[in-house]
Amino acid sequence: MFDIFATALYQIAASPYLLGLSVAGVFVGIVLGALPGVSSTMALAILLPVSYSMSTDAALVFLIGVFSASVFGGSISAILINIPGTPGAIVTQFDGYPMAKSGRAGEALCYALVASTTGGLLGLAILSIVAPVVASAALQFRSPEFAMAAVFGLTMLAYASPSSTFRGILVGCVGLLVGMVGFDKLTDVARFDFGTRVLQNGIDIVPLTVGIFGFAEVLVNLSGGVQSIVNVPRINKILPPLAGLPRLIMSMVRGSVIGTFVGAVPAAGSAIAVALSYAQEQRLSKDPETFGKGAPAGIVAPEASNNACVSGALIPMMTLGVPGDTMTAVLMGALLLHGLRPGPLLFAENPEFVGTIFGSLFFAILLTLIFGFVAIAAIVQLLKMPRHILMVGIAVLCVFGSFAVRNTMSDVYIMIFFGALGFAMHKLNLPTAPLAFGLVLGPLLEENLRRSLIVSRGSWSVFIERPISLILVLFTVAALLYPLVGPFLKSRMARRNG
Amino acid sequence: MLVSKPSRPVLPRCSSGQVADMNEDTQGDQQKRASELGAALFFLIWAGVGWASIVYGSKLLSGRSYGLDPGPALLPVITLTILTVGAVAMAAMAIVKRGRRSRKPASRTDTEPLPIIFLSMVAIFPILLETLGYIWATLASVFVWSVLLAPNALQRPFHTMAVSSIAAISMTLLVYAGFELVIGALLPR
Repeated sequence: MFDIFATALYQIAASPYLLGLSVAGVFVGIVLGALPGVSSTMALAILLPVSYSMSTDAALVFLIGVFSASVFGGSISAILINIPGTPGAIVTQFDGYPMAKSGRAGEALCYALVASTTGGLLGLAILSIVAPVVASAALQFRSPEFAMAAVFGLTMLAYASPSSTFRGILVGCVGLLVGMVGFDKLTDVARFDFGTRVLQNGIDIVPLTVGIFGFAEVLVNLSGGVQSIVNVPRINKILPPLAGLPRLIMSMVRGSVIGTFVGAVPAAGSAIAVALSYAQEQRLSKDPETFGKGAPAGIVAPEASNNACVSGALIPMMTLGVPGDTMTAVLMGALLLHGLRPGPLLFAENPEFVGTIFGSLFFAILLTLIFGFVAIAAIVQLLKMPRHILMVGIAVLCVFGSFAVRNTMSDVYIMIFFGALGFAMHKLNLPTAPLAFGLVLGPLLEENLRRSLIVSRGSWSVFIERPISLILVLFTVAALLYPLVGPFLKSRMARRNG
Repeated sequence: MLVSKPSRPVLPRCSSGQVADMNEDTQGDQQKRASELGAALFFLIWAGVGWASIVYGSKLLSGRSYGLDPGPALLPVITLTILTVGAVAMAAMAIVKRGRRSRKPASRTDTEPLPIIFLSMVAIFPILLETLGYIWATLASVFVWSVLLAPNALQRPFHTMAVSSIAAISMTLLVYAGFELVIGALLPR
């Protein structure tokens, strides 16, 4: 694995084109992540079409740069203007903003930057050790296991949805239906096409993701009103007292480990990881009362956790073909666009591609650190950009991004339809992420479900006869039942405790 | 011209010991139930369209044998069944809750015209692109959108016009450079 990693590093470093793409991805990622209202998923979705014309390696280098850097970018607005740029930065603002308000904005950003780098690198190290092990174990997987892994991934996302598991599952079903539009790959029978050629080609992942994660978010932002330009504090001194950093190393390590492993649970997401890391640091701190008032440990632990989540979320995607979160779902969409399906065979059949992922992530982390130190003062000036111009710019990108993939206006209409759908879903308090998960996981689920039934001659017991498949079935059932049984059990325990 | 979001009325709170009158429907309850019914309707529409396509429009239920393969109808039928049952259950729960409480008509909820207006204008954009070509359609659309969304546009008309013009020109050029020159997309002429 080390050879592949080293080769990928050399290839990227020796190619001005790939290195340039990494620099561009990191720069755009930091800027978009920093802008309030632009999440990492949105940044990835609106830039996904840009990568379409690139080779697979180049697209990966660019998108992983955006993915990784936007996570740090999210902390910039959290620290400076108390608005998290990304959901994972929501905890960073608890201590980052008070520190910035007390005139130490540069220091707070530096803590976040160092922690991001540490979290990113430790997460990458864990990813490169754990992923091959999981992948080799996953080589034992056959169709029933893959089918159940897809069902488990969808269920976990529904379970982690902000509204309710039930609603999340139904949205996942809508995603599956959308993924089934067009010709069935095994039998060439058209489904849900209504006799139109546009639908016979299927719904492409680009207009869907750009619509629900890009354009719909613009509409949601507009429904909250467009604020005027915000006041951004001046950044004078960037470096914090160096003596203080070694004391924070253990906080960063703990945050990184929590982030990587929570991120590896499908759909758990960075918001859970950062909350756990923050709570853990507060519990272990000798001065817990300083948390929420600008404690450096309150910045570094969640930031390390947030960035380690990037690597964690890549583990299920690379080893099982099940995205770890919405960002990796979009990333997986990019791989599917380039004809690559992630999964355990990736390590055996395309090891150089695995190396490219590791190498891209390493460069993205390193370049984020460099950009952070060199250009942070210039980047924060972009926070002063009028928000309505930003929203118009994103809408324009959504339109031309959808158009550029196949040079067809029908994709633009599909994007607008999914944008309107995403906005309606937001108004109805329905999560949008399971829609994309359904679309991405649908083909994996259907192919393996049908193959399992062919092999078992139509017997559904094949899913409970194999141990790993049975475990996945049990986890899925537990995730489905817990929201129904959990409140009852809690109230019973509360009554018993008086 | 930015339309400010109407402020929500502050709901009275019940302190501990007080018993809220459960027959009195709060606006929050009504909105929650409306959201539940809306969500159920949303899923029912998807299920209805899906079933209609299967029953009337496609060859999925033609009875053709695919050998040991359960066929292309298996997952669509399973998914639509879950969706239909779930949506009906959700609608039933929302209706039952409505029946238990008072039937006072819901008060007016937030009207948010800005996203709807913006959505309509973006929906027209592809038509403009095909008729006017990329340059004029983008210049005009970005200018109009920027003016529409600008906060305090009426108080500062010249500033708004200037910013919108700069935005329109720069976005038109950037999109041309990025998509046509770098990516190689053929923007509509």
